[in-house]
Amino acid sequence: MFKKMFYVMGIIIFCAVAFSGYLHEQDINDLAYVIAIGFDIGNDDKLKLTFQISIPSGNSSGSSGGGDGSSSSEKGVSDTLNQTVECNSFNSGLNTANNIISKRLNLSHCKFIIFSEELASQGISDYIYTLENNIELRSNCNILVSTSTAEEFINSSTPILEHSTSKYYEIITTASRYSGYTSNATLNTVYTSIADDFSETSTMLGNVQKEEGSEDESSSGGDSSSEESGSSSGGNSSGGNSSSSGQTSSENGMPTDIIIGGIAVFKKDKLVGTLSKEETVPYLIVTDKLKECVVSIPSPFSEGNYIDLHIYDFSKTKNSVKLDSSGPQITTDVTLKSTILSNDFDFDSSSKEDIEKIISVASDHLKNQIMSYYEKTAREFKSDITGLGKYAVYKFPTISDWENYNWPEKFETATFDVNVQVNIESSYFIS
Amino acid sequence: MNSYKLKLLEGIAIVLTILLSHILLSVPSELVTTTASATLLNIVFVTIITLIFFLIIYKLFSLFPGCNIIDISEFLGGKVFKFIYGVCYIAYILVLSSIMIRLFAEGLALISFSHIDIDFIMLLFVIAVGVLNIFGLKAISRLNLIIIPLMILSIVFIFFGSFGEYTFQRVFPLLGYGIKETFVDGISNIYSFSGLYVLFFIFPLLTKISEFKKVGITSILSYSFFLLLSVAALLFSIPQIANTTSPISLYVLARQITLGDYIQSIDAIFLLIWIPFMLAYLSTNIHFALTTFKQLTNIKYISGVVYCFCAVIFVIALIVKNMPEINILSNVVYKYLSIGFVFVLSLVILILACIKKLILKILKKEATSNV
Repeated sequence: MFKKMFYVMGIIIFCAVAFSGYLHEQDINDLAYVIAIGFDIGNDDKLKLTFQISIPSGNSSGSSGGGDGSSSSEKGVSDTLNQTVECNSFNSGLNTANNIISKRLNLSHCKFIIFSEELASQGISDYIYTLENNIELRSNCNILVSTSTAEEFINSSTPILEHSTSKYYEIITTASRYSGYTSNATLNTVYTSIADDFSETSTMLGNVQKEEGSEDESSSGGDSSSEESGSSSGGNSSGGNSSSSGQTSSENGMPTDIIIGGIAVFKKDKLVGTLSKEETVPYLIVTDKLKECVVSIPSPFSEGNYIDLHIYDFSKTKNSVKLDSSGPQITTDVTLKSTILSNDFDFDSSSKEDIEKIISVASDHLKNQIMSYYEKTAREFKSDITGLGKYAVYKFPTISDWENYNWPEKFETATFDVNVQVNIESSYFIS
Repeated sequence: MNSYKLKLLEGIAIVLTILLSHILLSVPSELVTTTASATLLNIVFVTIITLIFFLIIYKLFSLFPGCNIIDISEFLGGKVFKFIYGVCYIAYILVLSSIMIRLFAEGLALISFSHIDIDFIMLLFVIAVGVLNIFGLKAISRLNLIIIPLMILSIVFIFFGSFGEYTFQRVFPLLGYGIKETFVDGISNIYSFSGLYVLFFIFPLLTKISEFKKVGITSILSYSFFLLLSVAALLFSIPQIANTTSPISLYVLARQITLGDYIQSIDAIFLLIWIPFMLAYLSTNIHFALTTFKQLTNIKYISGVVYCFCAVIFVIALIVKNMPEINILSNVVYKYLSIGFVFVLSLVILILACIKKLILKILKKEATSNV
């Protein structure tokens, strides 16, 4: 019995000592936690990496610092330190930042990876594969393409309604659940869609909001140094803004806040275009990702007026693909549940005729939106971000048959048939 | 050492321990690489073949009650053949264990212990396995009984936990690279069942001989089910083109599981289960190598040999220099060695031994009728 106990204790002690980090290399005090990483094109086509590092509570206010050829700035209420380095590759940049900060950067709490539009249009697959292979990075880390530089985006991301930037990053992605103005893309979904042969990649789109009067609102590729800015313009821009990424302008051209809205569309790993916030709603509907959103439809009762509908998914969107010699014929059947939010005297919500008129206009409006979304992705971007290829792949018995069909090329010539049925349910609390 | 007899559940647990280790390591990703979207179909096909294989060996074994494959080889070819075949079997088990320990240690080093020398990780395993084998079959069997439910739980949890990442259409095109590639070339995927070698040894260890059939069929079917779950999770989550080359393919899936907004990284829990599971697997493997050695040499005290075998495993595992070499070992050497040794050579020996027995029986009958 004693002998057995001796062996068991020996194993336990041996394992405990061996596996507990005997060199203290992973002591929490030696680590600095990165919450966002920005990828830009630097000078001489080098990579410019910006690390947003969380400052532990109790430390003084944060600042942005520069490494080799980097920028620096300060933000009064920031709980983060932004470090920019120029490097040849991601891992060498990480190493350089480790050296500058004199703490080991840990990526396990990274919430956002931001690519500048310029870099994304050159291709991001190498970076995505490298990041996916990084054991510290979580696969649910969000991926975003910024119309401004990634460094500017990170420097501008100061939370107003949150104490912690990390929490702020978590919350801004949840806005898409009820606004329908963007679609979350994680490291894992981007990685798989780049590798998939029946769908293309899409990511969130973001930009730096500036106050009115700015000449260049997206300011991509510009001088990325940011300066002290004590206030932010706060809330997001209205849904009526028709700009491609939903950005607003600024008074002095200085970045004040970040806005996330719209979708960046990729063909394989290269950015080919963007969808606006309004164009994101049909994307969410056809991909069955829509939780809820508010849509304004033209009023059938008085010209120039709009009726707001709160729409939410009623049943699964049914997509089907028919293949013939002229190309794929894609049919989409959408059924949505909605309630009327606008309360005016133009119509009577208890009247069956009035409700049917609204249903008809709403159905036509959404059908047109979905059709224009399909037309744009198929003809302009030539990119199947909806993933309609997966409704065609089962018609092919072998992989070689599927590859020979060449879905990405055929998708450009696809014809679309969209049927939308909007059901209006309860409307007013008072009328 | 062999005085302890296994009950039905213990028998199933031992066979499953050997089989499930394949799921934990690179087998699911290797299967997906070979047969792409047709992997699920291929696994069903290979399971049917394996069941037929088992029913054949069950019939053949029933002619040799209380014997394992080494005893049968002695009956077939005498002591010299028994010695050669036994040594080959020991070598097979030791090489197999070395490949597995190296693969798992590489995986651990990659995931959690990047600052620790891989030799040190392997050494810990080897020492623990050696100590466990000193306690004999009873201790190993009990460890298996504890760890198998946890291992099964981890596989099922990974399957359902990854559900949000699934794209079910990745199972299409249904025939993958083609009918020939799926059903003819794909037969080589039977190596994923090569852990069934343990059935050749377990026959005399069971309390009731009649339980051999139950142990075999239950193990094959349940392993096949869990292999299907693991491969399905991998196939639905990751495109075939980008499929994983990770030494621990299940970890790739475990890593992406999140439970709500609060529990976002639970991969360490899986490692906590998989480490003792690998200990159980290696201990079971070495136990059968020791059993064979004892049969060959009639040695009385086997405990000294345990450490020799552990040292051999450690040294073989150290010979491999880098991941490409490990991949060749696990995907080529191990694959074809297992098919040849477990499914071809052992079956041939069994069939020849049965023919010899039948001939001897006929000759004996003729001799008695002549008398």
